[in-house]
Amino acid sequence: MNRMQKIVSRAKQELEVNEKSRSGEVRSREKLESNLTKYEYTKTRVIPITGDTLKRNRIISMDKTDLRAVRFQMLRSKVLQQMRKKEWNTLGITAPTSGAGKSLISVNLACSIAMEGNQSVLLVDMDLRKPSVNKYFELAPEYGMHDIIEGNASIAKTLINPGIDRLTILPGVKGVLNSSEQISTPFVKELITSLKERYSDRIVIFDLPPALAGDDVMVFIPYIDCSLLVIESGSNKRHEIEDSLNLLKEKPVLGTVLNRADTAKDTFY
Amino acid sequence: MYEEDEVEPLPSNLLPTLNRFKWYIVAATPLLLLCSLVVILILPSIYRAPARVMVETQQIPSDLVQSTVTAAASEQIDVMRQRVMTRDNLLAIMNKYDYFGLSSASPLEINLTLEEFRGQVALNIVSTIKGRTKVAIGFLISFGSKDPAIAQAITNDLVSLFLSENVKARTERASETTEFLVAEAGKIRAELDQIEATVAEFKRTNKDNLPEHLGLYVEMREDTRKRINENERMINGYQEQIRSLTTQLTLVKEQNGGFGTNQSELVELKKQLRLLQLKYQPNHPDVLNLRDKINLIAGGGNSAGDLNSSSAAEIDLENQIAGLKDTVTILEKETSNERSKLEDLEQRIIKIPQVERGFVSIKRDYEAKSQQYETIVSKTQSAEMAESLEQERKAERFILLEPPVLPTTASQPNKKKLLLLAFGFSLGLPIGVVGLMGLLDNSVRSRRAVELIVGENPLIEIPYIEVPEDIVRRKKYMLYSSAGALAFVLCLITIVQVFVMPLDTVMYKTIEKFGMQGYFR
Ligand SMILES: Nc1ncnc2c1ncn2[C@@H]1O[C@H](COP(=O)(O)OP(=O)(O)OP(=O)(O)O)[C@@H](O)[C@H]1O
Ligand SMILES: [Mg+2]
Repeated sequence: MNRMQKIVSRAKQELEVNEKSRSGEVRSREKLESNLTKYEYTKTRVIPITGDTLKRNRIISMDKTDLRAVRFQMLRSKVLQQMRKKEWNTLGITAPTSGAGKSLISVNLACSIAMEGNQSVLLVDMDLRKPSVNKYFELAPEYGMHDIIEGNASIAKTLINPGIDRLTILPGVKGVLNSSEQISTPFVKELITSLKERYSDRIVIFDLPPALAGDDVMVFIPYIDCSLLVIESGSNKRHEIEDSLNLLKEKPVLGTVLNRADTAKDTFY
Repeated sequence: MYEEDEVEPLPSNLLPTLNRFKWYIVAATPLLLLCSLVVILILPSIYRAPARVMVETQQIPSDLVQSTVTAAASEQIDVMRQRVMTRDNLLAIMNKYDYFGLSSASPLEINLTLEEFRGQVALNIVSTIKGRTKVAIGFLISFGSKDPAIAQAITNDLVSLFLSENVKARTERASETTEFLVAEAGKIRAELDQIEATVAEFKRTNKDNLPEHLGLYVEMREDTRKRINENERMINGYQEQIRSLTTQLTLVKEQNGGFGTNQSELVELKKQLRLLQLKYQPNHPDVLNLRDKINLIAGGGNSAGDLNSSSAAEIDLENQIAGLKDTVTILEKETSNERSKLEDLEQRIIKIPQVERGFVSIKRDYEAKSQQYETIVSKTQSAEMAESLEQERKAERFILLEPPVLPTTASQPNKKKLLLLAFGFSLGLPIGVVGLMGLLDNSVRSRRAVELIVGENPLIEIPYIEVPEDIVRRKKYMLYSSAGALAFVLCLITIVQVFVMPLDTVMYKTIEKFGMQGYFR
């Protein structure tokens, strides 16, 4: 199935879903409203994470003594500069294949942005099939993203502050199999739009699933402002990168990050 | 996707891959080297005792005596090899030693052993560059065996076979040449004899018309002609005389019939005498004759002339006439003889040019053949000279320069070559494998590759983010892998000890195989 066919079938599915959920739409909207309203009055749960935990999980962008943090500061500056200029506040991070380091880079970038001083960040684990943000913080949250989508929990209940100023995370708990159906419900679109609007002073970073592993990313891309493509050195082929870029080009691509680069040491300055 | 062909290819991942796996290569190389060394050790040692045989060139300058064996030395050596390495020769050598165990071998085994034997004979031609061509100056021959003594003994046998074959072949060839030439000379001699016989026969059949007699014949012809002329003139003179005597006889006969006849006859005779005296000398027989006759007639007249005296004169005249006639007949016969002789001579002279032509052609054949004969005789002589040269071994020949000595170190496995090979293999294999991996890896690995695909550099490159746990893990990995390598080496040593040979033997063998005895004495 080539990409065009995928898009067509995707659109058809979407229509069907819309048809089916027309009656339930009002209910879901109400639910969302209540969720968002509740958030405003409820204090986000704080689960402090130690520096050791972060370090153990390769989150080094917070450590001022770690030279490797500089790389994430540079990434942060480049990303923020472009986003602020265009007044964007939602950023998706994806990669052609799984295991490329999307989650690691999302977490590190989020932490780095939070470190900047006057920028709040919301890190959302949008990888419904295989959520991993919680693992990076060694969290075992009660609710996750899919609970919100399924209507089992409110956003407020789900949000967690890992003890880092200006950083909030919306983790996942366990993977679901029907991730693409969930992501393509109009509710998700509403949810994302609301998040974007409500927290316009925040940068919202979405840790996305692999671009080529399913159609989640393709469906999700229209909801956000821009994206970053992580390339894993030594495991991504030319055509994979080209296909991913094609898929992302609906919204601006800020650039690429070459992860696990062997040449990185040499070019370090 | 049609533009795919125009897309610039990504940079090769060969070097990055080699760089990434360099420690693997460094680790794998000594292990492989160890394995190779064990294999080299297990390979059986082959001893060789090379003998050096030189080809000595003709000692007498070749422009004085040309050797009949002119093949290039290298070719000669090759031919010799074929002659020496025959089944019979080799089997004869092999039968001398129990080592090959031919006595109890089946025909198939014999064939196999023979093939193996052949394979172990090494013959290397040693040559130098002379001018622009390579000239063989000798050869090295050796036999490879696990037993050094056998190696030496067999090399010795082979060398003596080579040397004797060489002498045999060369003298054979030289005497063959001589024989051929002698036979050829004999053939030509026979032909020459035949031509000589033909010449003799020709001379015999044409002996009257030989050109060399031409001058003689011409002279003889002139003489004969002169003689004929003389005779004819004489015949004419005599006939004249006969006629006058006949007239005189008639007169005498008349006088006897009546007188006075004597007187007139006398006058007549005196007249004739005067004529003759004018023509001839006074003592010419004709003149004397006539004078006698006149005296006779005059005396008769004076004496009492009677019948008897007159008839005596008559008889005398008749006798004279008869004598002259006889003389003429003889002369005429002689003349006719001379004439036939002349005719014969003329005939001979006419035939001579024709004979001469045939004779010239025969003579030409003869001369050509005899020249041929002379050259072949001289060739035969020089061939005989060459043969004696070969027999006295003054010509190009093989000399044993260095006899084989009992080898003390194994020549095979060629330690230098094998070590080099093992080293190359041990280093080459991992490098090759890693290099192949790099060549086959078409993934994105560098800024440059990203730039080529995306159109701009990546925003940032993140290296491998190492955590203390990684270091612990790496240490563990290192520990395990070096333990594994150690275990491997121990296993290898155990296997060698148990299945191949005890370790002390290994040590001696290693020392011997790699020629390090010097360091341990
Ligand atoms: N630069 C890096 N240095 C060290 N380890 C890394 C690096 N990048 C990623 N990893 C490790 O690789 C594994 C996969 O990374 P990560 O989960 O971030 O990838 P992903 O793209 O989010 O994968 P998935 O598709 O499963 O979500 C993790 O264990 C992570 O710690
Ligand atoms: Mg992930």
